[in-house]
Amino acid sequence: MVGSYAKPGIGGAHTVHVDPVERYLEDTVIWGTPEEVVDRLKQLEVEIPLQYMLAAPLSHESFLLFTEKVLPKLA
Amino acid sequence: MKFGVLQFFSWTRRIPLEQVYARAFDRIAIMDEGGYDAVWLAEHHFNTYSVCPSVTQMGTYIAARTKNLRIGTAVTLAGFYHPLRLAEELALLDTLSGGRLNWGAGRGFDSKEFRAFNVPVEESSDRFRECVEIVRAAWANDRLSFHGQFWDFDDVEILPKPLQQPSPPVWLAATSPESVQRAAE
Repeated sequence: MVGSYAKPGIGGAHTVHVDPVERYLEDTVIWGTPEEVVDRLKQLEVEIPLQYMLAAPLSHESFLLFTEKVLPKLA
Repeated sequence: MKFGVLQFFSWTRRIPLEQVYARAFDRIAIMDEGGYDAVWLAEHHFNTYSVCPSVTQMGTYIAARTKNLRIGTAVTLAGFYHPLRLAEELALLDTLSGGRLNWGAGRGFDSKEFRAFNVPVEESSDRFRECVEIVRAAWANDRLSFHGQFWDFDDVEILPKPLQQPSPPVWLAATSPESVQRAAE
């Protein structure tokens, strides 16, 4: 829903066939190496501008990676 | 930029539920040590994707185990509460946590929850709006009278009041242009 709202044309009445995994990776999650995630969040901080990030880590490992390698470069 | 974590209590049934909670509390302890603004607790009922039916109870427990982290609700499901009781419980959590509550409110989306609580899903938006109005009024006024679509009462004193004055931060869940507009209003 958030992806549909942020990117009209994907989802809802405008749906064209998009691979769900591709859509998830492109429109829903921020993923990649810690360096890539830092870069993406810095980009969003400028573009939106993003002031508050409510993260939902998919695993304990990704939580620790985020805490140790991403957060110190942004908070 | 501030960071919070949306904390689910997802249970696959392959491990004891107590272990799910213990792992979450370990993670929350790490958040409390620094870097994070808040843990946000997801309320759900009758399913295993987050076994946390009471975010105020869970929040109070977490508040007692932490010192710095703010406690967010993400979200309290408006249609399933008496709003006066919700106002009381949230204010109590804010008080016991030393003013660390972020109140996140939402209307809910899971039809199973609406069926089990016997709340018509088509009323969720109106119930949500009325609930938020009552909770905020209960915190802002010494005594409250209210006559609405779903709730009706006179001259009630809600205690305690939140420690954060005039109010804890209020966050509203919004996933459509209409709900974003309503939240802004």
